[in-house]
Amino acid sequence: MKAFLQFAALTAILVLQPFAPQSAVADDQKAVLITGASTGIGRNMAERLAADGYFVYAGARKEKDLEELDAIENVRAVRLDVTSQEQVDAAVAVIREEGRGLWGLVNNAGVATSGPVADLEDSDLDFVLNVNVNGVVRVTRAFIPLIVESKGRIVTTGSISGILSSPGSSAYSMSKHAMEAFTDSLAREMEPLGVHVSVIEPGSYKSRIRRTTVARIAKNIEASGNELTDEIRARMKAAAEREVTLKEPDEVSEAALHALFSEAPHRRYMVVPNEEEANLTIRKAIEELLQLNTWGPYSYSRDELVQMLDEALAE
Amino acid sequence: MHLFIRCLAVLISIAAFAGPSPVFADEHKAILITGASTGIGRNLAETLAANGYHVYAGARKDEDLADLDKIDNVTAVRLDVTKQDQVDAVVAQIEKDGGGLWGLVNNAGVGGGGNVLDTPIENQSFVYAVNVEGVYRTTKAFAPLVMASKGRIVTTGSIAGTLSWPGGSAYSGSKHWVEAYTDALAGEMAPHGVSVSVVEPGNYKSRIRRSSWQRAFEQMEAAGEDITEEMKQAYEATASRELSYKEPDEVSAAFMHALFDEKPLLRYVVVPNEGEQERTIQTKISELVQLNTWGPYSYSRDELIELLDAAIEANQVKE
Repeated sequence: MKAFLQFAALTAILVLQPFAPQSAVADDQKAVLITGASTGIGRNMAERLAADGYFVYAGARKEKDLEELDAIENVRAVRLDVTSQEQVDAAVAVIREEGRGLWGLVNNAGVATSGPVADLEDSDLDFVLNVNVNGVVRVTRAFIPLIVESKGRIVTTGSISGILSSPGSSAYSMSKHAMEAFTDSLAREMEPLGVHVSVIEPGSYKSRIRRTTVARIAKNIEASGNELTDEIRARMKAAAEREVTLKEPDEVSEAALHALFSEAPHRRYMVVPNEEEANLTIRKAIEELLQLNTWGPYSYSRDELVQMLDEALAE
Repeated sequence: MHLFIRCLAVLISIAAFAGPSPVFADEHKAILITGASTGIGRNLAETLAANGYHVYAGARKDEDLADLDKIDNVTAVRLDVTKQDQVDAVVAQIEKDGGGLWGLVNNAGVGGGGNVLDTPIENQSFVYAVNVEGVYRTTKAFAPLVMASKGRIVTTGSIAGTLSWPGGSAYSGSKHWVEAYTDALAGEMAPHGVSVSVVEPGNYKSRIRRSSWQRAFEQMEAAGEDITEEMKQAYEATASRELSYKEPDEVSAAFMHALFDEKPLLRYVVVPNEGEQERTIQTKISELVQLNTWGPYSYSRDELIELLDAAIEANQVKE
């Protein structure tokens, strides 16, 4: 019965698009859902996957973005605010109805905020937690059954902020640190079910996340009846100018393709636009390792650490 | 004026505790510990009090508050870290006491979670509300007092800040969060002369595992579900395992270092056996290797060892 439905759906699509221009169709056109696909990394991934012939369900919140995404070949836009259980459930229903199954889930929707702990509003922390952490878990929970059916892939957009953490970045870094833990737990929960789980940790690439953050902060300031100072305006302008100079996230999509379709996907993909960011991140990871190894009677010597490193490299 | 109040407070405290010979340390520095009713928080409260420090011991239940209040050098304070009004009330009380606050120990935490697939989002939200937002709320509220004394902020992390396991995503996620939090806050507080550390205990005796189960049972009962025999057995197994763990005395020793040593460390992994140290360090190294796998900027084995040696040397120079 299920095979029949799937066949019927396939036929319907063929009938509906009889004169569509021939497009690349890869892997029996595996379908992938990408959340937060309207801009930045998510948009880049959606376009790349669609161009490579995969079928993309592209999640977005705004009407305008949905229309724009829908116009791309191999893309079906779905209204998906990851903080809304109702919209998540509706997206599951849409994808079930379409009958193509779901090979991959890319948890990409994310927001940022900035400000030191002492000044950050509780509501800002809530907002970041709600989207970057609860949103990912909500969406994953909802789509796991579809992914398990296809023994597919779950990929989450983390960040090098999953390793780094600098003053003023606490809320964002914390949420991305949580994604590192989430990925490791989920990977082992899904392993017996034949599903691979990865996290992609991009460095600084062109997106809208910084501009969106500054705009949201400005809106909050205005909503609370305060005026935007020249300083804030200047900071907004600087953030916008810097962001557009960053590299396009093509390499990030490359990593996503590997995580989604390679026969031997990695657990982690750190993708950075230059060696400085790689150096910063790896050095931080090493420093933290040493900090963990400093206190107490069971600290390892330098040579023991090197031996453990060699063992890990050999795996 | 402030100094006068402080002197007065010291005199009053000395008078109040003149009885059973408390040892006075470091000018009677005051420390607030959240989640002090049981486990690691309780052990630390008792250790600090026995060493003559003044402890504000946060707890939620009347019975625990009464119990804590009986200990010399301890003032029990009603403190549910998820409640802003209770946090504000404790700030006001400590300000009124006038003895200042040297240290804040963010210790209150809950366990729990479950597989992503089967666990309602509310369970994860609860873990985050206490372990993440609770720490955040408490730190924000007490930071001015700690800054005034150029004191210390120490958070109870866990080796789950490095490890994650099936069913552990919510708890590990919250403790990974504490790692990021500590790094960011340390940088933010350094200009104010406040040191920030995280203590990452392994498995020690506490009530956190039993409490998590009991909470799950209460939820099931409220939903009219049956608690199966299998679940009861699992609870018993957890309880006897938890009771077999080592007392967290070594955890308190690490807190003492973080709170009072002239050169506190940023991180303290405190584990009851070598096995847990090995798992933690191995996991961190695997993660390093995983981060270094993809892309054109991967380092070779020798380059990684060079970076390791450079970091070891930099750490020794700092000491």
